[in-house]
Amino acid sequence: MRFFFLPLCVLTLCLPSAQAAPEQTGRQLYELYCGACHGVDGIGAKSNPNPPLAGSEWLKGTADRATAAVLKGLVGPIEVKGEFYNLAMPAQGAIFDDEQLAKIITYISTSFGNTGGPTSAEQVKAVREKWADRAAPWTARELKAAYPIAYPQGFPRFENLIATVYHTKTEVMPDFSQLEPVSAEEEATNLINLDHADRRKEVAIVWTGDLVTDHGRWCTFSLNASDGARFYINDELKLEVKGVGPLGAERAVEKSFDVPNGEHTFRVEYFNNNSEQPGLVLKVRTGGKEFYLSESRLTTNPGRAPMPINAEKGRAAIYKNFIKGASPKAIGVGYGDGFNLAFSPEHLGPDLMWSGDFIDGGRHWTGRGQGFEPPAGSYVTQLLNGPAFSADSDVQTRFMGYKQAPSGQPTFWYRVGGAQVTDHFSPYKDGFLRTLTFEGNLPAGLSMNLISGKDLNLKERHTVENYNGVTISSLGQLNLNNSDGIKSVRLSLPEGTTQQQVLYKWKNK
Amino acid sequence: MKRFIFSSLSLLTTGLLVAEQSDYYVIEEIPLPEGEVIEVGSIALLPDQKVAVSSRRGDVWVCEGAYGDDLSQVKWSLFYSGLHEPFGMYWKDGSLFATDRAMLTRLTDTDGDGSADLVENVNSGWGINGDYHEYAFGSTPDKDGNTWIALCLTGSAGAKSDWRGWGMRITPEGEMIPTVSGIRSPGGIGFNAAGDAFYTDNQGLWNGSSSLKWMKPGGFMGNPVGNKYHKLAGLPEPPNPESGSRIETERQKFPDTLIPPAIVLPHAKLGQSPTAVITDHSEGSFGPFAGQVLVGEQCHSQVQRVDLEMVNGVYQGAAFPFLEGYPSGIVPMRLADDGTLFSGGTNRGWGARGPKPFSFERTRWTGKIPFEVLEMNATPGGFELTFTEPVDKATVTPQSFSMEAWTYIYQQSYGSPEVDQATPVIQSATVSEDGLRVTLTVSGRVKGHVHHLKCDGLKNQAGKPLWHTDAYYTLNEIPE
Repeated sequence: MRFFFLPLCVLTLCLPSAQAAPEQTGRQLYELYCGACHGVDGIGAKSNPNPPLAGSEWLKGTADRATAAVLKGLVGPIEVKGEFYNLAMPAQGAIFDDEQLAKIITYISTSFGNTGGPTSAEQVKAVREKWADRAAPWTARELKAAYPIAYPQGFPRFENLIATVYHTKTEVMPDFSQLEPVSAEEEATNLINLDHADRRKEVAIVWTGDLVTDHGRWCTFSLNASDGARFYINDELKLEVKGVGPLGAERAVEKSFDVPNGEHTFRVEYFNNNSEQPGLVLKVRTGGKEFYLSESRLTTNPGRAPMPINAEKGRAAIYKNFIKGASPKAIGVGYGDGFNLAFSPEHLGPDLMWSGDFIDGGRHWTGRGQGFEPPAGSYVTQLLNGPAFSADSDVQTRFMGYKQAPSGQPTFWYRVGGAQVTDHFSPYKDGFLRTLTFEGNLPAGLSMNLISGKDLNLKERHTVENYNGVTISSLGQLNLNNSDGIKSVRLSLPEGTTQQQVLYKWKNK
Repeated sequence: MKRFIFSSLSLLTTGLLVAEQSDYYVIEEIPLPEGEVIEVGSIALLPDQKVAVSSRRGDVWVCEGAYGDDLSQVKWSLFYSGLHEPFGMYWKDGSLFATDRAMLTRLTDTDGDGSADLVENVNSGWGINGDYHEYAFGSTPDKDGNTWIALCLTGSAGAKSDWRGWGMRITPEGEMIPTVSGIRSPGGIGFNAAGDAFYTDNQGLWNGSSSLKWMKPGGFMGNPVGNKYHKLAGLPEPPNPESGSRIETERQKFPDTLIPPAIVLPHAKLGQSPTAVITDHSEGSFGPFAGQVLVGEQCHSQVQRVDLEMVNGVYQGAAFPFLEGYPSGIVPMRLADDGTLFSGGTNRGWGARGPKPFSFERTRWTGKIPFEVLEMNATPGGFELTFTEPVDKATVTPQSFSMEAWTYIYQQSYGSPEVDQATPVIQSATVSEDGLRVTLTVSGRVKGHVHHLKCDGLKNQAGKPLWHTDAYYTLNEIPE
């Protein structure tokens, strides 16, 4: 005996109310445990990037794939119905018994228009035992390798697929006879897949093999790529996406022709010069149905929309989140007009400075916001990668905070030994003028690190130049230290109250 | 308003019960500034009826008019921009104190222009490494002025940065005192009426179900992953429990340090991502539940109600379903003295029943008292229930009540099924003269189990059943 709440918008399950522990149906279990993220109707939660189950290719064929995913969890990027998702589903093998999970998997495999097979408690038990030693959650690729998504009947299919990878920098399809292959590998899935190449940019790939059909018929092939691609059957060029460009619908090409019964040879050529979102999609349509011959079915570039952050109305922007190359607590400051830095409260100095755009918030402001975002601009220069003060002394330091002027420009404030330090950066010509004020008892013989790196060149005790064409100069004395091939340049500090200025300059800006 | 139609075969004979939340509590969305994405991570109550909210993007906005009659007239101003996903904020001594991922920060408007220009590091003594799950949830100040901070594990499973999995107190002078160990993945932190600190910990590794945990100083909250950091401060090593055991069993091994969850919030039955912890200090202006704890719920877009009691030196008590139908997944809550409950939500990265990607709203009591179990207390022989209004004494029979009990496996892997099921039997039900209290004698209770009480047959004097018939009592200790 059960109660149901029936709100207008969502069907929400009420608590079972009979005397004995009641049996719950697959639907009830699904709505309780899974519905918040995947939606009670299987279309994914509204306004939230959780993948749909309705129509998901991951639920076609064996139910064991879904069972394994729920048992062990699934993390990282996954493509579902032509869209990218990047979240984490926790392992729930410890939550459900075999009976409950069988009900849930059977429900999702046979609901929302899905036509996958049901499963049983015995089958769930078998999957559980098969992966008993596996501790880590699945990645999409591992799951697909363990449970390949099968070809449907009646379609032409690839067999004996070999992928050959080349490195080349080109904006047109290269002459492959002039290139040396980097690797050649069998594609066990018999689907075209860019992930197997060792890099994403300045790369070209050729897939060769057999195109086999048991049902000779009229087929429509369509091809889309970023950057370029060609599709040959029996050495005849059938489709081509030319030159460089994004994976937009406007670049997709398609052609219909008869594919006779039997085996044919095919060849797919692909290159990406510099596209940030490379992709290759090849699909075939016949008899009113379609099937993808590529692992990817993206119709547009999967990249997230950029969310550029910059100084606005003359006020500096602060971005406190994970910036690639800076320490995790670093405070990004976009001063406007192409002046940017990341100040580290851990190191007490700038980890990075760069010119051009400040930062793209898209990574951290979507999904769970994982990872470090690189600066959006150019001439990114690594300055500190460790503490500015404590490398050769055990002086106590503490980051105190910062004060923002009406321009938004911060003056950082910290303690070094008995001294109070203010540290201000102002955009100055083609770089920053850094003004440091030390008040109080600065320990004798103290110096502060300005930059560390392999390729530093000290000129006349007052100017240091790095590989990136950045020069740092000061009227104070600079000393070059060299430790295990890592050089650092330190500014000597006099005792007592003092003011120091350091000029950072982009030579090429 | 959303209207819940509650029907069942067993109740058809007694007529259709229609429970209307809006009879008792009204949820109103507070418009956010046009075009801004404010995924609300924390709320602070300010003087002059202003309310500050912080966004996951790191902005702090101040709202005027959030208490007003016409919410379309609210005014917003940007107070600060540049925190790192803050989850915890309060107003004190003319400043906003915000706990973000990296530090406890004091934000002050020194020039009176309405936005902060002084940003001070109160303390940042814990580590982060770039992992998105290394969140920090901060409290309001305790009676000594300390801010309590709960530090989520790395990836909610590891402890790769200093002090992950620990709870801290930050003194007003900025000193960090490691206070509890054993945290997994907190969703909120606050105090009960007695001023003791509690946080919500989410189902996962070593958490069979989500729960409300008492941060007893020196206590171990149950997840040993971050134990190693005791060395950083020369503290005793926290317990290493045995995986596959039960909390009740492991408590016997570590009686002074392993603090059992005060209130288990049974997974999926009563939410599945608990968040904010606040106490109803409104002395009745938010309804009859003054002094009780309210717990936010992100995944199910709800507010649960919690009645705590201390038995044999350990907190325990009952959780009740309370409010639901919020527009997004609730993360922070604050209850103002006038009885206005402010809450804010986000769906980003974690799904919620509430469909909106983010929201800010207030909930107010209409003045009508719902027929509810007000309190549920353990007794040597059973439970005593107190109600918000006199019950129909004729319905006080053992058959009006039923009980199930279970616990969870205490284990290293994620979550747990409900196990060790038991069916305690209601032997007798007696009602007090005034009809406000029912004493149940119950045989077969199990120490350490969640006891799910259903009061399906009970009626008030108007013949109406309870608004919520379910209660979940965590029986860590049986009083003598």
